[in-house]
Amino acid sequence: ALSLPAPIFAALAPSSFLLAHLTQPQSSTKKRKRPSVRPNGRLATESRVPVINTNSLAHANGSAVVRLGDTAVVAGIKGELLYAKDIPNPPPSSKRLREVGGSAPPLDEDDEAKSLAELGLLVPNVELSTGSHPAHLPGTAPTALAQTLAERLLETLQETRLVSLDQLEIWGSRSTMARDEEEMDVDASEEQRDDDGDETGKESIMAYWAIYIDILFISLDGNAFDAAWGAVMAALKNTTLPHAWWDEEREMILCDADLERSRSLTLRGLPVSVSFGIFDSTAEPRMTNSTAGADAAEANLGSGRWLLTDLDDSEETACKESISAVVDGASGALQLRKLQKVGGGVADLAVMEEVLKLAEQRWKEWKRIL
Amino acid sequence: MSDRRRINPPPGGTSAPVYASSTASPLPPTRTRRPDELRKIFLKTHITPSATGSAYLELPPSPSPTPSLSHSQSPSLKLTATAHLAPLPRSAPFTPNLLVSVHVKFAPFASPIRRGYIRDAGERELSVRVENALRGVIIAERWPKMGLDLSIVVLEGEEEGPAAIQVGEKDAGGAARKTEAWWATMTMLAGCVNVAAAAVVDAGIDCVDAVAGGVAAMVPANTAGGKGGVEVVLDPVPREHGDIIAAAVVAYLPTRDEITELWVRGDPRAAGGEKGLEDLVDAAASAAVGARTVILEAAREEVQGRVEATEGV
Amino acid sequence: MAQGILVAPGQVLGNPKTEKAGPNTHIQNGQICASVFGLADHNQAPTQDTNSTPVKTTAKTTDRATVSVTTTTSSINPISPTINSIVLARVTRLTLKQATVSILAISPSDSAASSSLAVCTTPFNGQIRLQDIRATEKDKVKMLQSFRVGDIVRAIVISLGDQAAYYLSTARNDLGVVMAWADDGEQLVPVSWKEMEGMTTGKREDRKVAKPI
Repeated sequence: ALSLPAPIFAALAPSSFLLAHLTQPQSSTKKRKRPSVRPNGRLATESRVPVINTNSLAHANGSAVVRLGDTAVVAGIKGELLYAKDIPNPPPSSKRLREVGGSAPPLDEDDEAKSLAELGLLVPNVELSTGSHPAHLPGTAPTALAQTLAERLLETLQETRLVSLDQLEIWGSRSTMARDEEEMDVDASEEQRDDDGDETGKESIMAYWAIYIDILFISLDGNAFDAAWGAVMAALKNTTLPHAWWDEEREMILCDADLERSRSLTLRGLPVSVSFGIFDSTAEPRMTNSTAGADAAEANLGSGRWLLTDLDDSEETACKESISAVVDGASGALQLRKLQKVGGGVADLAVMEEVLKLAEQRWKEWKRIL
Repeated sequence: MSDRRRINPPPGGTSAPVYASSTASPLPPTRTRRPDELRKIFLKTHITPSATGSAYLELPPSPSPTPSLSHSQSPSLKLTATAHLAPLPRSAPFTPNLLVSVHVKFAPFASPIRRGYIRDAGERELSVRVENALRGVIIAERWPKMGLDLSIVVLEGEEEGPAAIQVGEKDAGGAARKTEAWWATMTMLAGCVNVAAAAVVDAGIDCVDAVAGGVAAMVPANTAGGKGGVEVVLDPVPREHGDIIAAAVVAYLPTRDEITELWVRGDPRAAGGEKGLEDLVDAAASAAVGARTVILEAAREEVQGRVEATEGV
Repeated sequence: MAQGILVAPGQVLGNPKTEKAGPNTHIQNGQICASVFGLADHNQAPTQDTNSTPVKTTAKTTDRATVSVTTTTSSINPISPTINSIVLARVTRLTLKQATVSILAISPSDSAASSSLAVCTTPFNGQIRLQDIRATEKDKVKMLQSFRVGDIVRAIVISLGDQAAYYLSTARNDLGVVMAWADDGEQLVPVSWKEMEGMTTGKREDRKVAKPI
């Protein structure tokens, strides 16, 4: 039959190439329960080790470079001011939400998240047309993938309630001329002064910080979302916003350039995205010379079906079904924050159990470096 | 302006933060290099494995006497470039030559004030100039019906950060910053030419020579004796010189002694006399020769790395 | 591969009077210069080496040595189809007059050895016209008895074509369909010069089959 060098075979029949690799006997001595190895040398559920560098960009309020093998992304955070007078129908502030219904009720995170989303203070965008991949050439409008990634990042930011609203509010009062540092201070210590009642009543929100999150892909080799989300997390965790106050004389917000007076963003939890692909060889064209039949039974999902983690570019084209989970184990037990499954019909509840188990391992791996 | 294909800012629009006057105004750094000494260029090829060729270039930040205020470090030029050799789209007419197109893109976080995604005049100008610099170098007839897409991303520009925006002296500060950015564009162009050239060399596209970019500036002489004359410095950092009289960028082919792109700002003849322009351009060309050495060294390292990797197997 | 010295674009390699300018070189001011960064190779005795890499082809018989440069920087060889390149392509669209294909791999010379093939990062568009399918009895050839969408064919480039596609031909014994699948996903194996069959089903289908090599 036709014998082809591996790269040619991979280009002509990507799914057959993947199957041939997964079912390839590793040694001549026939061992039972031999693990499947992918063309990239990884085991079926082996992920690439993420590498993170933070705050290497001087003009950004926070930044990170994240690498997953040959996928490399840069995230840069920049804060800008949204003046309250420019908001037509301002949603309730974090303080109002806290005050509703008694002295110290717990902050209703749902309402807060709603306010944050209404204001649109988190603005993530993704740029793939940097030459990062031959399919996303420069000078073109954002591709479908770039748009989907940005939307998913925004959704994930909103659903995980990663950034609390009160950190982005800049309070001030128009009536008081005296600029008492204590009163003008917009710190995370709002809660303590909440009880003072009268004084804070005069204050209102003068502006918000809008957080621009720009993600540039330097190189794309699969699993764009996990890398992009990792970069968002790493950059936000290292973001500092300058101390800002309302200046009565100039009728504007001024910032203090002093690094010591700036404050870091505090994030709620540590959500991590873990993506999977399901390779269903039974739905693919078959190769006659493949010895798949017998070995395919040992696939990790049984009968020629594999659950693969952290897909690279060629595996993404071969896998028709994908699962993406956002999990957070920061509060002890693993919490599932978001789960998305696209295409195919292989994944059932048992597969989802396995997915969560692997996601927990992966969360620990990210936690070590984030 | 809203763009349906991106996540848009809040409808009310946002403005860049304005900083109050800081107590200690940072002293501008001064040049510690000799006039003919270049900054050390960090260059690494092959950063995007799926591209035909790629490179990353970084210039070291100039040492700041006072630590930068709102940010912990001073900015340095950081550029990436990728070269993709690909068939032309169906819509393009038949051409017997390789079509080279260059896109320079600033990352939104590359400058003190955030930039949007819409292509602006600065990006266009740099793109055209880099394209000119490369056009005469690439042997286009070797690749009929093909396109070479060069994409350059500016991850960080050199102009100083928010400490320069100060209330009160807002106008003066703004103007100074603008001049600084104005001159810094020239260093950026030279950097773009170098990173693009490194990506083309990495891609193995046929060229008549390895092109390189260089900058030189004419500044008031910094001698203690105070002749009041001018001197020409290679690879200037605008912040280090209070006043720049003129500057030139060249894209230069050393083995042919040809200049494929020349950009002069200011009038070198007014202060430097008859030979002012010639001196300035010669100096820029010698800066380019220095950069070319770095480009070839990066290519050599890549080859050696690969040879060692194959021998190791 | 390790022979030769590293040269840079523009570097003088030799004199055209004593040597011949090979691949990745050009002539400037009466001298042979390198056009890429790589290893210079002064080939004294040109041999027909079928296993040569795409960029390092040797010259036809000549008494002069050939100087060429091998690119070693790029992991992806810059490659494009030229006349007489052998390509592997997937059939993407069929009409009664022509088959549209997507060129996935290219071998630079007229050598069918699969080892000299290089993968295209971006596929090229190709076209096989009805009259270029077979060498003989051209008027009896039917498109649907030759190719099906999804087939992998081996073909030769006969023209750079127009803006839309390269023109390919399969009018040779060693050219034609090399991989094909039946509707149910089973791979077909060649049984004659014009038929392929499924191993388990035994169902036969018509194709312009390439002679196995």
